[in-house]
Amino acid sequence: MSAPDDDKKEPRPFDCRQLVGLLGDYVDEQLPDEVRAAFDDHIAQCAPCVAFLRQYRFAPVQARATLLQKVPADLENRLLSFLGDKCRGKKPGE
Amino acid sequence: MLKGATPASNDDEALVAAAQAGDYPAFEELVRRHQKNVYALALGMLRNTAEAEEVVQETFLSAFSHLATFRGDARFSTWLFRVASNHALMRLRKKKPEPQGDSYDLEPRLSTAGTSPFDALTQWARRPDDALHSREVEGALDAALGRLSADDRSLILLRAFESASHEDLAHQFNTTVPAIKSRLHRARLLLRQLLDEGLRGKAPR
Repeated sequence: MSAPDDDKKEPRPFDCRQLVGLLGDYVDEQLPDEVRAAFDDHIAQCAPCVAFLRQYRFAPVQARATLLQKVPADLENRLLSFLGDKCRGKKPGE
Repeated sequence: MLKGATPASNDDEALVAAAQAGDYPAFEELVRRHQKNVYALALGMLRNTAEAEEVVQETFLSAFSHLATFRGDARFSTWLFRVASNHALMRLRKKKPEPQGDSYDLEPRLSTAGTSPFDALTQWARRPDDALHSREVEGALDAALGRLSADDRSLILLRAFESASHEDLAHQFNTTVPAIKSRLHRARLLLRQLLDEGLRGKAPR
């Protein structure tokens, strides 16, 4: 996967497949500082990993956005009417 | 660990206090603010519009009934999403087991920079909404979500909607934090791969 390192300024501390294993901790900001720095060094030199990271981040965000588009326009009115019948005039927990 | 509170969540605190004191319009305002996210989460987890709406109703009824016990240790939205996900997970666990996405052959492809529709999309779409103008993207994403197991889908969405902590997720899924981190990572890899294949127009292997 990785190109030969002859033209790189510094050797990569881990390869692309190892980087994939760290993606979760990277996007959740759970990597120790030194590992995160090595991760950043790697992706600064590796276009395939940049693309993969972007897609890994994008998919869940896009899933959320897609689902929000599906909320029925009249949900709010139906819900407030339903809850009003059940809850209005009561104190929470009564 | 949850991210820092937003201005909206600060406003929620005053509304919660008013609602706890019996101000029903304050509770209604909390409903207005959060109903879309709760519905979208429930729809994503259950993939059924009628059940999603029932979960929204159950969630806000439970929230009203238990509002007096809310102490503000977490954001109101976090507490509300926990209630919603519990209702949705209870429904999922009563259903027949569905095909498990975990059996899918997961082989990360790293050599597609600049060559795949997904790569082109993520370079172009500065904001998630940008990509929604494409029915192709929406369809591919819907299909990808549908191929995930219910648990994988739930994990991804709980994290995406409310940044649910790993500790919370481990508790809800009755497992350990290291195990939940591993499952969440695998689920994200799978969603990425399925979406990539969907956008390429390829049937999953």
